[in-house]
This record gives sequence, C-alpha cells and structure tokens, in this order.
Amino acid sequence: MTDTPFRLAWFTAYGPRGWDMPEGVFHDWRKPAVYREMSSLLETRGGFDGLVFADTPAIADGADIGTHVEYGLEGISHDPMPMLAAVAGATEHLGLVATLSTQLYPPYILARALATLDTLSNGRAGWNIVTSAGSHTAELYGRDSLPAHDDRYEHADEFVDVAERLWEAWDADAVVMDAGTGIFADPAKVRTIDFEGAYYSVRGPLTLPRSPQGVPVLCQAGASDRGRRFAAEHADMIIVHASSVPLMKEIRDDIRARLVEAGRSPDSCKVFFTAHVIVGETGTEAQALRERLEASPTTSIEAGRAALKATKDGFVIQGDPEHVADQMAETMQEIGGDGFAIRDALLPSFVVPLVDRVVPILRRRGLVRQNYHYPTMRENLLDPHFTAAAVKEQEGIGA
Amino acid sequence: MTGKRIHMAWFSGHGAGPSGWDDPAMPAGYRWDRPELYVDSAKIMDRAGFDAIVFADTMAIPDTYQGRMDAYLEHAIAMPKLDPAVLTPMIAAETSSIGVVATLTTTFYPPYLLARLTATLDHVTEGRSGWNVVTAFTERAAQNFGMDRLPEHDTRYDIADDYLALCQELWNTWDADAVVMDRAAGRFADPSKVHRMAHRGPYFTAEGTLNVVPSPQHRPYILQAGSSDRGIRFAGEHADLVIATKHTPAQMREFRDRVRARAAECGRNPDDVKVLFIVTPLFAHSEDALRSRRDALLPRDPVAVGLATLSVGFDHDLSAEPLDEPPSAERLGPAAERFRLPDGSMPTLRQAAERQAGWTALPLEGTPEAIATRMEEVVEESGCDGFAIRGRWIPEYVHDVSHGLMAALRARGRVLPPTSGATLRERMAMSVS
Repeated sequence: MTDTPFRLAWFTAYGPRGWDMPEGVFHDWRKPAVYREMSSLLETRGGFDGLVFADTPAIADGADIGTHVEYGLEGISHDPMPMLAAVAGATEHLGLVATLSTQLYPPYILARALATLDTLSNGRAGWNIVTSAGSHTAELYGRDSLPAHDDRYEHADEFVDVAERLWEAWDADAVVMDAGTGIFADPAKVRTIDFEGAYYSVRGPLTLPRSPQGVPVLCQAGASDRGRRFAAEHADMIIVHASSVPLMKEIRDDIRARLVEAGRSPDSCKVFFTAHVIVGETGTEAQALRERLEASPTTSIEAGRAALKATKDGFVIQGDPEHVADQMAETMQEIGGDGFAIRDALLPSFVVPLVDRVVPILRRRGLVRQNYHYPTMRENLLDPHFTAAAVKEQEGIGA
Repeated sequence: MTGKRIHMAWFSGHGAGPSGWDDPAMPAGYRWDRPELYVDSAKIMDRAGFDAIVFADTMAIPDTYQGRMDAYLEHAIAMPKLDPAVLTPMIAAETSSIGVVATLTTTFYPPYLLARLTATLDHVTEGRSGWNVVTAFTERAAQNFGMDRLPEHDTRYDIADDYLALCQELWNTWDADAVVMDRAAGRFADPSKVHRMAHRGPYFTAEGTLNVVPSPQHRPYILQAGSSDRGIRFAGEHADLVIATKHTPAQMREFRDRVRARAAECGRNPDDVKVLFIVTPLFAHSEDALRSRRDALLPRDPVAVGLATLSVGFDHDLSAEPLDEPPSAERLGPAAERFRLPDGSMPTLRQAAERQAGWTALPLEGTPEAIATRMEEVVEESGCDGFAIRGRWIPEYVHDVSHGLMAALRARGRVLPPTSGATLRERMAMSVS
C-alpha cells in the first residue's frame, strides 16, 4: 500500500468566526494581529499550502438579518483583500486566496488588485472565483436581481477570459530597468487587450507589470454540474464540502475525469475537502471541546436553522493527536488525494494543536509538506515531486 | 517659541510605483515592486511624527503623447502603479501612528464595493485609514471599464456627491455601539442598532445593510485633491483634508480661504478641514550640492518626459506642437493659459516641458533648519495647516526629511510626536503644546 501524501489549507473568512470563544477576548477578530500570528504558524510549523478567505457580500441573503446580527453568524464578512495583504507581510510561503465575485467586481479592478497582491507577496496570490446570487446582494448593488445560476457562469467564463488577458498583457520580460539607457520598460512588450465580449468591454493593459505568477492560483468552490465544468476548465484548486468519504471519492473521481475531458492532466488541479478538525490531548478532551463548540449559541442556532446553508454538518475529524493523524491519513488514502481545507476559526485553540501535535506525526509518515521548494503558490501546489518518499527523505527518515 | 501646529503628510504622487528607480541614490537591493521599499521608509516616517502617507492613483497607462504608450512605458511616467488599497494595509501592519491613505475612484468602483473596502481598510489599519476621493480624468481609464468616455467634469462631482451620500448611509447602517460581543450571554450585536437603508439618489439606488461592523473611525478620513471650483465645493462639503499645489503663500491663503468658506456654508466648522500644500524640499548645505540634487531629479530626456507628462494633464498630444514657440491658444484653446508662469510671462513649449520635468511648486532648498524656518514663515504668511512632501521613496531622502526636517520642526514644537491608539481623524485634530 502506498501512502498518499496530502496538502493542507485553512478555510475561513475575515469575520467574527469564533468570536465567542474564551480566547476571543485576547484575539480581536477585527484586528490583523491574530490573522498574522496564526498564518505564520500555519506556514512555519504547519507547512500549509494556503489560507483561503471565503466571502459573503451581504448579511443573510434572502433572510431576516436580525438573528445573524444577534449571534454574529456568517454573512457578517469584511472585504478579504486588505486582511490578506496584512497577512502577506507576516508570511513568506503561504498562499493567500481571496474569494471575489465575478458578479460584483469590474474585471479591471479585480485583476489589478490580485496582480498587486501577487507582486507584493512574491507570487502567492490566489482567487477563489464565485458568482454571487441572492436578492439582498442585488439590492445593495441597486439591481433588481442577479442573473440565474447558469447565466452567471457564462458571465464568469468571460470574466476569467478578460482577467487572464489583462494579466498577460505585459510580457514577462517587458520591464528592463536599464540604468544605462534609463529605459524602464520595452513598449514592444506591452499591449492593449481591446476586449469586446458579450458582457465586458476592456481596453487594457493593467497599470502594473506581469506579476510573479502571471495568473494567480485559480480556485473554485461550487459543486454544481456547471460549477464543476467551470472548475475543470479554469481551476488550479477546488474546495469541496462533502459529508462522507465515499462522496468525497466520487466527487474527486468525477473532477479528474472532467479535467481529462477538458484536455488537462488530472493532476493539474488539486481537490481540497473541507473538514472540522478538533484535537485534544485525549479523546475525552477533544469531545469536551466539541461539546463546548456545539453549545455555543452561534453553532446551535446555525445548526437549528435548516434554511441556512448547513455549515456545521460538515466532515468532522476529532480525537487525540494520533487518532486525528490516523483519520486524516486513512481518509486521504481512500479518496486518493489531494488535501484538506480546515474549516475552523483561525484561533489558537484550533491552529496550535493541529500544527504542533498532528502535523509532526503526519510528517514522520511522509504525508504532509515539510518545507516549500518553490517561491510561488502554484509551483508548490502542483509540485510533481511531492511524494511520501520525498517527504520522508527530507525528514531524514528514508523512503 | 512655539506656534501653530504644522501637519505633515508624505505624498506619493507617482502612486505606488517606481519613482526614482534609476536615481543614483537608490540603494541596490530595494525594488519598487516589493513591500520593503515602502514599509521600511514608512516605519521611519512613523517614528518621525508624519501624520499620513498618501498614495495617488490612476487606472490606465496614458497614450496621449504621440498617440502611443511608448514614452510612458520607457520613462515610467504616470505608471506603473500597484493597487494602493493592497499596499496600505501592509504599511499599517508595521507602523503604529501614521495614517495611510489610498486614492480610490468613485467613477469606476461600484459604491457598495467601495463602502465595504474603505470600512474594511479602517478595521485592518485600526482606525488609521483614509480615502482620497477622486473622480478619474482620462478616457483611457474609462475604456478599461466599458465606458467610451467619462461623464463631464462637473457631472462627475455630482455623481460623487450622490456616491458619498450612499456610502455614508451604508456606514450608518450599524450604530457605533451596535457590537457588544457579550460572550457570557452569547450575544454578538444588538439587532435594534443595525438598520436597513434605502438610497434613492439622482445616480444611485441601493437598499440593505453593510456587512462590515462599525470601524474605528466609522467614516474613513476623507481627502480631496482637485482644485477646480467644483472640486473645492466638493471638498468643503465632504473632505477632512485637502491637498493642493500652489506657487506662493498668497495663492495658498486664497485657496484655503475658499475651502474654509465652502465648509462654513455647508454648516461645518472650517477648522475641521485641514489644507496642506505640496512641496519637494531639496536638502543640501551648499550651492554645488543643491545643483547636483536638482540634476539628479531631472530625467535623462527632460523635454520628452515633460511633454509626455503635460500631454496627459492637458489631454492633448503636444508632440506635434512647435517646440520653440509659446503654446498656441489657437490650437490648445483656453488651456494654453495654464502654461503661463507665475511672473506672467509665457514660456516656449520646450521651456515649459523642461520646467515640468524638474518641477517644484514652492521652492524649499537648503539645510533642514533653513527649510524648517521657511516652512514656519510660509505657514505664517498663508495660514496653511501644513505640507505634503512629494518625494521619491529613496532611503536617503526619507532620512533627510525625517531625521533632518521633522526633527527640526519637532524641536520647535511644530509637529506632533507619534501617537499610539489614536485614529487618523483624532490625530489630525490634536494640537501641539
């Protein structure tokens, strides 16, 4: 039996996640300190591929906002880009993925913001591509409604096309910065894009040179048929919510088949499965932490409201460090890859036991990343040499 | 003796871009496209008591001169530019007192997106963020957003009025004390203090509630930098801070009086609007040293750079105009008058271009002490609230400004020491003494 090494990402949002945890007193979710500190741990001790910020443009779309406001539920969500920029300054390797909606951004602003994040982070920016729905969002934008689901993906296809053209309008070697001649950039290597599509018209180019990755890591999180088709065409990574291991395997197999259909290598896009990971010194301690979480009004209210997206009925791995490591390894073995997106508040209670107790066990088994071999997020994500044997060799264990 | 406080901003007039990339004083190892160049200097300015760093911005590479982007790309004129809303949080995370201001345009951002972005920036900077409100001015930028051309100048400000009203309504959907975070009771916020707004303005319609909790300043600190009549009206109504370019203390006084009068008309206390003027001090102990500083600021091809820069400002390709004649009113229209020098004479186009390339509005030259003295005089003569230093992100220059000029002003009790925990708006309202 070959071990299947896997990747780790943290999936959260810039919002009041875990605000009612006792440690929330010391770690104000509104301020950058806790995000910067925890991200540094994910990178230095956890070897994580990325930090993914979800986003919700409106509070409780389609429902009454009172309950969401009273308990601080999802939907209260700040713009992910400024906080990812603050995190970029505290990290060196961690990928930084922002959820940004093709329905709500003009392509030029979105492409420029991501190119800037990619430039200033030296190649670590990612874009989780979403297409917003919901009547509240539409009203906030002064529109009667947003397009129907499949139409939104037609927009999104064109949007991604525009963005990619903008990202590639400067050749990689356009900037010469020749101190001898005083020439900054070679005009022959920078072009307008003159895009005229069904939905967008954009002249280009961007105001900044091509960023280290050129195109940021593209991520997708919709599980619909149309969403998966979109992912197979565009994505470097996919985030999937699934509640059982067989379902996870089925989804991953389907996505890999679609990648092949789209003419891509099935390994050119990594599938991350969301999971809540609750670690205690003992199984009893982990259970106590879980019960405390479930007793939290934010959790019980959410779980009790069927109208809401069921956010807490996801896949849970809990126990002492050995047990959690075993569970993660076995799950990945069954699915075949590619990684977990840990879906908990970015707070010490969740981050520290995982990176300090579970990750070392997984590393000894050659299952998770020890260090980063490349400067950019995409190169690390798609690293073809990321195998159990290679990880063990770095650990000095031998294959 | 101590006198009125002098407010001091750093104005990155090139935006977040490579001003001075080929300056011999730029140390090897610093790159304009890495955060360290900006963050390291910002830390020095932070400790020196600068009040704010302001990043200009535009949304297109110009091609006015010769109808091509070539001159702009070759000489790095008015480009490249990083998104200032991404750079400013990185600076804020490494500083503790200085404000950070990003230029963001009302013409291209959907209002909800921008209300949310600016509120978020205020959280991430812990109350030290500002928004320089601009309405965009080139058709090339408009064409990056699916518009053939921009609305007329004054109409853009009418749109911006409606835009700001909408943003204010969105920021006001949460009362300042709505968030309670009572962990014992499991209560995050008081729903009776979170409201739904419905905006029906001449240009924008929107309904709902912002999904960002109230930020430290509630409304970001607002800057304005346009000096047209319509721009001054807008500033008097909305701005906390105005920055402008004027040549003489008398012009500064006249301009500031107009901003203050307009603020009073809008029912505001005129002292709540600070007016700073853009200057580029040159530090040197001797005439020889000054000459070499001036030369270092000159581009290699001053005429081409000057013409390309002026072409954008006048929205007219000056490459076809005769170089050794005064700009012709026949071809340029009334805009030609803008070439006239402060002494009333009309330069040739070549002279105007050279002057533009090495240009500084109000000359300030000499030792830090001498410049500090001249600044005190200008404040006395003009009544102005302070200065915005337009300089290159070169460590040596930042050192001269911070450890020379700011130290001299501090010794005279004119600038405020760093403050910790104060918002930008609170800091700007404090007095020295």
